[in-house]
Amino acid sequence: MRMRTLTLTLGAALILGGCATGNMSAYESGLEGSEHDTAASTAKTEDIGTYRVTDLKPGHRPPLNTDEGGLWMKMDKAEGGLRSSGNIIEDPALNAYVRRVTCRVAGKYCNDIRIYLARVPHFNATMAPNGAMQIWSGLLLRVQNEAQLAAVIGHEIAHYLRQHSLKKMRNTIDTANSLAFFNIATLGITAGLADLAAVGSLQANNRDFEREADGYGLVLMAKAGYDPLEAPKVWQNLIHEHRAEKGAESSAYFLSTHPAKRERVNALRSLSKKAKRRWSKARAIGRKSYLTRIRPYRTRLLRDELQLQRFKRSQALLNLLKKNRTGMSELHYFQGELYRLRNKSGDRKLALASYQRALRTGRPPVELHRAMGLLLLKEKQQAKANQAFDRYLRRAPNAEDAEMIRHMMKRG
Amino acid sequence: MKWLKHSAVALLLGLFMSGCAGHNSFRTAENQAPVNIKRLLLMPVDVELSLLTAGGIKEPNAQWTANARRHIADSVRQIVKTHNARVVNYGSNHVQPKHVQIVKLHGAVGGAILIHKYVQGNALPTKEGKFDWTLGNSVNQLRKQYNADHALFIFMRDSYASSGRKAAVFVGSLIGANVRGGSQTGFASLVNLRTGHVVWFNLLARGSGDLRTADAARETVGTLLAGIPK
Repeated sequence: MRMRTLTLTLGAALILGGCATGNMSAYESGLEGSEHDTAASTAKTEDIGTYRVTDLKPGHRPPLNTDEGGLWMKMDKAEGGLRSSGNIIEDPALNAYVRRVTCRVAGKYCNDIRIYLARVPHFNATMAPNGAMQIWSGLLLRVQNEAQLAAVIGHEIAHYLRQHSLKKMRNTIDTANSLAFFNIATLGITAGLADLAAVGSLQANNRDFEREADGYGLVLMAKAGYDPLEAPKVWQNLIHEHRAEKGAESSAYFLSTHPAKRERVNALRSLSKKAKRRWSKARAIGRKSYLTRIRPYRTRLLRDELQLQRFKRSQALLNLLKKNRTGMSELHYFQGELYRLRNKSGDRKLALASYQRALRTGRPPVELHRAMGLLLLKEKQQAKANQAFDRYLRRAPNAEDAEMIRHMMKRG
Repeated sequence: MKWLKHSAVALLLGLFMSGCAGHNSFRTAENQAPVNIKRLLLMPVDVELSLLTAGGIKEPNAQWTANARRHIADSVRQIVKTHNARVVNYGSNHVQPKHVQIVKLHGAVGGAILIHKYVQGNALPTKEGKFDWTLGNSVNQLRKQYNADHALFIFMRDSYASSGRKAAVFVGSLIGANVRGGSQTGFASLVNLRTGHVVWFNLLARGSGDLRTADAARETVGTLLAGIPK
């Protein structure tokens, strides 16, 4: 029983990423090392091998009879499941765009990475040891330009090139093995303490991997010509959202109990400045190109975001997006939706005003008219509601809810 | 997600290892009359073999798994031959995209059978004394594509103790601690491709057995398919 609990704990530690302290040498080494090599040969610095990833060749596929082969087998199977999960955004144009950015960052490893854009409205990206990379839709909504997307992709590719998953698996097995006899000998009486220490050391390892990926990610993006100063901004924006949700005071508490988050952003910021000095020509930000590509999907992404009903965070996000001045009509519509769904006193009036603003600014999504009708019904303005519903039905005659809307119109 | 589902099934199978399964195989009541198998489609076998390390973590082994997949198919072919039927090959180790939903549905139904028929206290009142699980007529496309009358689904998870683990088991036994060695768990289900009914289902959960060699695999598959209708 004891053993099973340990297995579960370690399994959990294997899956969870870490967030805390540690030294920075692990990922700074990649950057420092590169500086030494520059003078020697330019060709060599173009080679990612400078950053000691020569152990992984392009087209790498581990032999079946190795622990890595076993890990890949498991991941290949999981990837099959992911592919058929029904949660993957298959749009060819968007996938082609993310692939272009990925290939620019991954260079000759481009063909080893497979991209899965998952429709999940949270900020996350993951890399499996076999090169299956997931990017969640909530991340696509939040990064503000191509360089920020490249920063995330660079971080994930670094995990792949540095074989972090394999190292994690080996660490976990080694740690469990070292505990096995200790736990048996003590019949598990003192096992809790030892387990705790073991899990602690595993988490420290994971943190080192995250740091290393941060550093290598910066190198990869800068070498691809993307401005490394954009990397810490991804985190700054996230912290800003978090602060909006929890309020300044509890946010300070959050950061003080998780010094790693703040420290990681600080470390990333100073490291990005070094990278900028080293690759001074890495200037590409690609704000406009990113916003243009993501624009056709933004309606869907925002709809998913509001479904989460975490209005303070969504408000911070909307404020951020409004600064870009693209698709303002749509943003006003979603501002209205935020008020309508939040439904506090006074929100109906605010929502209706936002809808009106959206209509004045451009062509908002057709659902605006339905939302407007629903609010007007609640305000007992049946005639005006009918007009809004009528506009909705004229623009979306085949809507799934057309019958229901007609029924609501008859009520008056 | 599939990974999660597999883990859930594996966890469930782990439960049976702790010794709560009394009943082993089931057959549909309505089909107590002989099931007539002529052409049996063997679906891609969902198998995974791993090394049980001293600390109790399973390290998957791709080479063993690839061998086991071959051994299982060979053994099924031999057994079915003695029943005067033949095995139709699926043609790939991977499920084709057009069959993914069928395989997922089978996973869900198989999981429900495991929970409600094998775990005590989970019996469904509506299924009492009955075994009438079905995948519905979606399986018809398999019948047409392969000209097969039945399909066999096999799920296996085997683990083998490393020398370190064997030592741990030994030390544990000396001082009275219960440290488990390798195990063999899995299930097989036979589906009528005309009706979609799961006409036969069997669970295997034991602390012995092997799939790494052809001979041992024959014994394992023989035990797994013991009592399969002819």
